[in-house]
Amino acid sequence: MAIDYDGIIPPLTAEEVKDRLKNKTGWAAYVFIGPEDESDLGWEAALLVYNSSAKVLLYRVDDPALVAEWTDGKKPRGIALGPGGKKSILLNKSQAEDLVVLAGALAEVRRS
Amino acid sequence: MATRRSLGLRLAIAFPVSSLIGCAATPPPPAKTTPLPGVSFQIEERAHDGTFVLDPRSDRPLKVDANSRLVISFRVQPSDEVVQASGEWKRANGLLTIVLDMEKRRADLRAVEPDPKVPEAVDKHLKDLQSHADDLVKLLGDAQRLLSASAEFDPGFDLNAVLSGRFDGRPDLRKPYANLARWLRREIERLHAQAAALTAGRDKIEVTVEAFHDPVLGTRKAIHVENYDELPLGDLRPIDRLGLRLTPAEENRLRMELQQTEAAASLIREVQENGKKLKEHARRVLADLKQRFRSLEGLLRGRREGWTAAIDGAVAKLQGLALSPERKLIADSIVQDLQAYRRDIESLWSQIEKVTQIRQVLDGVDATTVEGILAGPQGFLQTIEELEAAVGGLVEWLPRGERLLKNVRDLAVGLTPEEALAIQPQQVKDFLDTLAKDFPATIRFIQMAVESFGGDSQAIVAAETLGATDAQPIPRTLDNLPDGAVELDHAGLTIGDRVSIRIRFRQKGTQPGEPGPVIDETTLRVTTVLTGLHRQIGVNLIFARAATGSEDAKEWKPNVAAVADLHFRIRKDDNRWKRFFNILDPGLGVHMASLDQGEDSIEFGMGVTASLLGGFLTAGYGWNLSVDDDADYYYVGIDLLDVLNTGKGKVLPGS
Repeated sequence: MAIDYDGIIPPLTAEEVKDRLKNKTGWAAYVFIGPEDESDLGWEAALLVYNSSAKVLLYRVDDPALVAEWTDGKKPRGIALGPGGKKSILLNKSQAEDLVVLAGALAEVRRS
Repeated sequence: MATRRSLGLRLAIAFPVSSLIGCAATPPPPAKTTPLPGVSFQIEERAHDGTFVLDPRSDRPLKVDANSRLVISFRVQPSDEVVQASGEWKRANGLLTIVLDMEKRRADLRAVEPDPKVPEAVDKHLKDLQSHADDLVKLLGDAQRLLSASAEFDPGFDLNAVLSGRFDGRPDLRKPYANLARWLRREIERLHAQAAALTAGRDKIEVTVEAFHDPVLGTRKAIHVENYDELPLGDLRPIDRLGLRLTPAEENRLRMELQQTEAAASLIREVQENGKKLKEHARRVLADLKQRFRSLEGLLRGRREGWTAAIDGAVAKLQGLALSPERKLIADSIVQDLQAYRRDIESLWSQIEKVTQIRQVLDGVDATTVEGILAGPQGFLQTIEELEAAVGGLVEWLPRGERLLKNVRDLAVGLTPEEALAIQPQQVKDFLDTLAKDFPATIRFIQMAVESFGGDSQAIVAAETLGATDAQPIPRTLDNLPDGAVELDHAGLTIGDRVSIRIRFRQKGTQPGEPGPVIDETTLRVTTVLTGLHRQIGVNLIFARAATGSEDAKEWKPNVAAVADLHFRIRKDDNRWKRFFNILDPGLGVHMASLDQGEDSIEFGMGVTASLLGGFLTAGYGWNLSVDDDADYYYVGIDLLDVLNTGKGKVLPGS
């Protein structure tokens, strides 16, 4: 599933995700990798940063293979992506649960 | 010359000019805070040339004008001010403003859709987005730090819990700004409540303010602090800045200074005149001391051989004699005395090494004065004191010896010559003879030497300290703290005196009149000076000689001079040159001196004077009014009382 700044949108295919991450310009995006679980602190942090930031796209993927292009064979918990998906920062579990780190990663990938 | 500064400060001129160069002007010190929230105080000097804040924490010696008023003012903030002054409160309020601003900016940015055909608009929008993202990171970091600071009051919550709203059981992930604002408001309320609780206990705190005057020579006394004690204020006695009128305290000081200086000059003259006699006397004392220790060593060491066997033989012989009951009592007494001697002599033998050590020290001293002994090998005095303690306990030797000899004489009547000889060993007889002749004088000599070398300066210091006035101050609660004031021109002080102000915060005692534990104590110590252009009047020990005339007249001779000169103290010594000038403290004036250059028993001279270091060093040129020819003279002098004052400052606590 994915959430953009207008709200929840229906599940996307892998190609649609790639297309969205690459083609949107001027927007930062955060991809959370894992099942939907509101008690998961990583997912909670993702929603809080999304609701605190201006024009950030938030996606959640169940299958890491969908974003394999950015994970480089690693197993991150989240990926912060700059406009057009050109710049990315991988976050592990504890980083993904830390609001300051997560917001910092999104601010950093915006810089290009 | 009247004292102006400590010797330590004067000597500093020899070393730290470079450190003075590094000094910079400092802003007025802030009020001194206390461990009590929102309670602080400040001490000001209100003088003829302005008002100056005095910082008790200053490393530099503080000087105040001797005619000034020292005012102690307190500031007790209400609880609202206390909380608003706290960093945590300020941070929480600041963050609350930022939170509201960030939320508004987020909404505004979301509403903007820049025209892709206008690159400037797109560029500006991207910059605004970046700025918001950066500010969000900063906001979250600040919130994280504030949360950590309040962790002891709000345990178990992290930043996620605050932004999600879980902290108060109202979770809503869509409203992180609202949740954070709610937590900040709760935090601000908590700080208000905390401040109110802290300040509520203030009525259990008492404050006392005491002031003490430490004269240059004399004992400490308490002086009146307006509103904080019931001591008398004292008469108004300002110190004349430029005139020659003296206050009673100055007159006393001058009189004391004159006595001290005259005594010192007399002593030096006596030493000059009797130098040869004193040296000869010292040489005799040293020689006598050497001889007595040699004699004592010989007495102890030479009689050791055969002592035990001789006494044991005498005791056995005495116990074997067939005697009547009366004569048996005499024999028993002799046995007891002999056995006592045996015990004591064994003990004294252990002192032989000490006696030998002292004798060797004395032999090694190649000095013609007693000072040579004192300056000699380490531990000499201590060793001699130990020996004096050891042999001093044997004062009963002489009466015991007399009793023993008398008993032996009584018992010998009726005995055969062999028996009489057997009960009176030759070793004991020789020892007692020598003892009776030399021992008392030796012990007395050692005791006198120890007393004259040792002195008892500690007792004088202790007496001065114990002489401090112990006036009861009036304790005041924090809701009733008027300004306190010390009127220095009513305190009967002179230039160079020290004044201390002690401020104490303490818990109220559990019983009326019983003081509770001290929470905080601050003592301000200042030295009195005159600032700006002012005169100084004092007495100097001088060494004067005639400029021309006979050889006797041209000898440097100790005398006394009264000096009046003008000085200038820069109040705002905010650069190194001004500070250096204040340390150098030059003066120009006139003097009147007693002299010893002609045939008259009383000679006076007068002339001009220049001084440095606030009058510590002086030099002058003048004319002897008691002679007709060769009247010119010159001198160099020092302020003797200043030296004494410096010494006192080092030993008296709190001065």
